[in-house]
Amino acid sequence: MADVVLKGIRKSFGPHEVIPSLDLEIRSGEFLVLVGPSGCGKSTLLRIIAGLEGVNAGTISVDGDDVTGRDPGDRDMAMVFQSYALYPHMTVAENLTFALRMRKTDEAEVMRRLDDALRMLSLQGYEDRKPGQLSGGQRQRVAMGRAIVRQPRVFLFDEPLSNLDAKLRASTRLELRELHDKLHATSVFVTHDQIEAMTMADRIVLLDRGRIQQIDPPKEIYRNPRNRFVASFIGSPEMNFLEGTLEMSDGAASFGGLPLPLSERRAARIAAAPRTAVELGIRPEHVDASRTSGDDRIELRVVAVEFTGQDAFVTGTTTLGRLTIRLDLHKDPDLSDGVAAGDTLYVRPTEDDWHLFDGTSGDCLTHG
Amino acid sequence: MRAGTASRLLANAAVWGYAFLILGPTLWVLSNAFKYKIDIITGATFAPVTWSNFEALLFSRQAHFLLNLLNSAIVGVVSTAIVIVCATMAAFTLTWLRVPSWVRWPLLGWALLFHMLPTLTFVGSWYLMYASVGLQGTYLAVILTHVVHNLPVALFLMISFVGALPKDLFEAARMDGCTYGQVFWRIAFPLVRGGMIAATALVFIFSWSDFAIALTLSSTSTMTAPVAIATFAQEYDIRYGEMAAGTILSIIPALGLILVGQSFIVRGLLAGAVK
Repeated sequence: MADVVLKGIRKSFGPHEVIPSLDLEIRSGEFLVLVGPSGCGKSTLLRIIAGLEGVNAGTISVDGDDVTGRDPGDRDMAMVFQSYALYPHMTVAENLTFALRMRKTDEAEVMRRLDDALRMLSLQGYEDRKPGQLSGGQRQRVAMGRAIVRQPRVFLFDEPLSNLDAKLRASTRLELRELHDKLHATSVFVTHDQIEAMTMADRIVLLDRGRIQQIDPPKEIYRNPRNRFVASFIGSPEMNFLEGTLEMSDGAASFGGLPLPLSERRAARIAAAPRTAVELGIRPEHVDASRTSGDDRIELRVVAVEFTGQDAFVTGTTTLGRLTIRLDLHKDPDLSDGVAAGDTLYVRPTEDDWHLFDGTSGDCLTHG
Repeated sequence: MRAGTASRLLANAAVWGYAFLILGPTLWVLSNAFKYKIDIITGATFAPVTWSNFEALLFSRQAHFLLNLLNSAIVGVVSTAIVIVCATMAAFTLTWLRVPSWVRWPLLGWALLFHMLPTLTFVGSWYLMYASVGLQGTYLAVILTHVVHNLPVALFLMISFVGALPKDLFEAARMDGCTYGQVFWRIAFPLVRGGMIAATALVFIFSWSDFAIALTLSSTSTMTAPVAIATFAQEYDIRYGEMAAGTILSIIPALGLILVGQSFIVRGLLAGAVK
């Protein structure tokens, strides 16, 4: 359990600058998730923390201890690799205890920690098997065991769930989070999957091209995105972005003819917003639909319906652009039962669940 | 069904025919080892079998073939050991340091180029070099030259074997507290053992069968087997029987190594560190 502070981190690979300048504080005991699209620098950042990559500038400290120049083995951190990186010529027990033996840990202690790890990960009976004789899920657990056995200050995870099938991924997510809580560990977890980020993190760090876009707990990132990139990355299916002109009068707002239900607080916040070159962002789940038209609704001409069991995602065209909405099949069976391509629905956003984005900078004008 | 059997027979016949074409002359020449001189000269295919050639080769008063075999062994074992150790460690360093391809390929190309050029081109200069430091005719001269000659091919092989290992194994070992030396010794080395055995077999055979270098750089006392066999072609008399017998004796270790080595080549390629 330790906190990690990154200051002024800059990293380039030759002429290619991956991380321009980054500051990050990882709190002791938290489960921090680094997430972002491919090439955003999240894995590079993790490897920098681990010591597997050097930095062009900046410092890394763990509990106030500057570890910037130090070997990866001397930082008291353990890493779980995406491919698990188990030593194929060693048994499970040897894999788990390798690091401890490298440090000449006392034999009794080694055996004790080995037994603990085997029990915690339900790997008892597999000690003498080689990695080639294990299933994918078992290998993943050995990889985690290797890290746990070291009782490091910080755990680093580099997309450890990517190689698992969907079902196993869901159950392992829970197990991993439980282990983190049980061990009171500080964990840094890299993933490209925003669902993993949302379900596991205490705080999410969303990266794009080496820059931190937002650091916040999942709920906050979901409800209050800082900019267009964050809003579109988090949430599945993706947020709808509509183009139009904002009109405001007497505390009421409308966007391209669609009235926007808003509270006083929000009205105050967007009072100074530009009227043109803005985008309206609405999540599919924040749209209210009905078969009857109204003053506060616009028409949606249905183009496609995707049925997922508990929801239906209806995509259609409006005067403001293409829109995807979510229909909860439980809440309103009449509505969703008969929706098909060619139908017309009347939709409006729910109060304060919409966002305005500056057309040029992408900043969220309703953030805060 | 009949067509299938017919084509299979044809394929078998073609393969065996080709094998016979290649092996036939060699076997015929080697059969000279068991014939009397008169039968060899008259070119008789079937002749009474005799061990006299082997006796003359190994046990006669002027015989020194066993010494020659021993010299071949000394030179072979020592030069192979040096080559394999250097090549494996160099391969590890080249892989670990993530040397850019514009360095790697010219380096390997350069190495292979000299392997492809005829050895006889260089032996003259090598003789002069060793003679100038008084090393001509010594074991050291032959061993060092064999090392220089065979290191490129071994390096090429080991780079491909070590390069096939997943890099994150090395990184995991670094995270576990290994120094670079320990990463090599505990992780890379055990995993390329198969590849090393394959390379060892190949390099040893190159060294064992080398003629040009040994001919130029060895003396009577350090003469290796291939050179000794060549000396049986003397001024007034060509001792075919003993040449054939000597050839058979020197083929046996090489053959043994190939049979051992080839299973490792296959195993090394398949097992290695592939997940």
